[in-house]
Amino acid sequence: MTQSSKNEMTLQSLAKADVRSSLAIASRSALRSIPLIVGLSSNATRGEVWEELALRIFQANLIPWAYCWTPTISAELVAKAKLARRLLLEKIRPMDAGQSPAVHAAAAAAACAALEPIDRIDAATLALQTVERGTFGIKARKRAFEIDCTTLFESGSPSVLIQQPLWYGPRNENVFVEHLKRLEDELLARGHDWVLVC
Amino acid sequence: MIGSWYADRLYGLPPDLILLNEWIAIPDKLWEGGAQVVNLELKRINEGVATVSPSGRLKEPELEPGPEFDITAGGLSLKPSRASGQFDRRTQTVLHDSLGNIAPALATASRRVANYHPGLSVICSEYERLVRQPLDEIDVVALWTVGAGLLANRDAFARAYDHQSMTEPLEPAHFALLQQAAEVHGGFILGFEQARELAERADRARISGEAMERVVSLAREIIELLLRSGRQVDAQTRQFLAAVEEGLIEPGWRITRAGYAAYVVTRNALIAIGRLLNWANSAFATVAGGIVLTQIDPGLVHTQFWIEFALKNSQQILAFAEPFPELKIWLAAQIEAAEKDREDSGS
Repeated sequence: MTQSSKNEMTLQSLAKADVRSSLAIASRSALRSIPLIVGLSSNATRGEVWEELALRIFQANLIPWAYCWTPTISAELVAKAKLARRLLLEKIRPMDAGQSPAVHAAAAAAACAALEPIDRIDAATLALQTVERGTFGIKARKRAFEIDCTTLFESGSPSVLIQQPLWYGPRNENVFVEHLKRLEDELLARGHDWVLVC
Repeated sequence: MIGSWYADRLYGLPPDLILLNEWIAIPDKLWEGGAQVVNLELKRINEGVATVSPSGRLKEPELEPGPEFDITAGGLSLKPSRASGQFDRRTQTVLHDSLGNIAPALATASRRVANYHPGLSVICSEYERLVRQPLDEIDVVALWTVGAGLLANRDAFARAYDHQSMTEPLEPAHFALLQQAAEVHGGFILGFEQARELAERADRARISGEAMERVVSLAREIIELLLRSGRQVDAQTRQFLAAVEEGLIEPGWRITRAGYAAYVVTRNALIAIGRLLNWANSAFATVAGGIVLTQIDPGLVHTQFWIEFALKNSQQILAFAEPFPELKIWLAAQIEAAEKDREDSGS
């Protein structure tokens, strides 16, 4: 089976499932790309601008993930997701806009949570966009996504999926660990008690 | 070390629901205020919830490093854990392959004498199940825990073999297999960082106090109660708990690490049950976000069962927690809240 027909099948399965299934897939893919925020720091975006962008990426990750834990569709969360997405997009400057998977995955995940009215097909499409955009450690990410789908469709429950570790198997991807450490160091250096990550 | 919200997501830990709810409720104006403002507000909320939140909630006690549990749609479930840190892959592969040959033979031989030695059979079957996973998927923590029982049995049967106890000895070939499995297991499991840490903790605890003698005896009682909880504990977790209980073959817990393993398993299982009670209390008592309980347990069947379990066995649970004040206070608060809820609802 080709990759595109696999993706098509996944899209169809997600489109039939509860919208939280798409959100769980999107949220986990976006979370996996978070350490890549450090890449933005080494580009033109430094100092306060970088810290602000990091905050917006976290905010855009927090809301879709929180959504997966709520039993009912909440207008409040949809509004929070819209706000998170807007604030994130406002902070992306043309020079660094397209460069970070962390930005694009977070924006797609927030868009998935911000859908109004809720549409399963749109949510599934946005979830797969998040997966594609959250490019980080391609092989491990692909494997993690496949296991995510297996877990989701076998259990039929997004809440089971959202309680799995982000990476399967030993998390020894050196690049991941290195980026994560750098992210922590850089955020701590700002002196703002970064409680979301540090 | 990265901690906090993102670290919890990395490890798939469930959220602190009260905290999550309060974070979501942060006004838009504050979110718009930038990193300094948002982090200050998050910190303020965290500190408020960490001590006593508006709903009077206490901080959850820390899990002991070792096997962890969740209440899932399948009931009380052992959370899978994988090897972390560096290990010598070549050596570990050789030892793992060797255990892959020995463990099935040992399990088969033990099943044949299950009438005489049912405990050994339970441990060997569970050990075989855990060790036959591919090396990268080995649940090191569970294997260490069940392996502690395997080692305890080896020691006990060694004494039986030397006519130092009343236990029926094993056939020489069977005992040789048990001895071989125990030796290879020792080399294999200590090749993992997590197992070395558990072994050190177990050894420190063994040296450290008489109180643990009673804790382990109460742990055994609680594990038995869990095993009698039927389908509220998922099948694999039941097998695991049975193996942990059977590991307590020796009368004095100081003799083996299996006693420490039983303590950790019991503590962490009680925290999982207490967490469910806590969710139930907050979900029933406050709007607390329209949170998860119905997602995890749609018909609230598990929730009702574990509330009853905690109420009915509160004496044993609190006796077990007695030497650990933070655990006792927290469990007592969950049980008290559940009792009050039951009284209020008139059932």
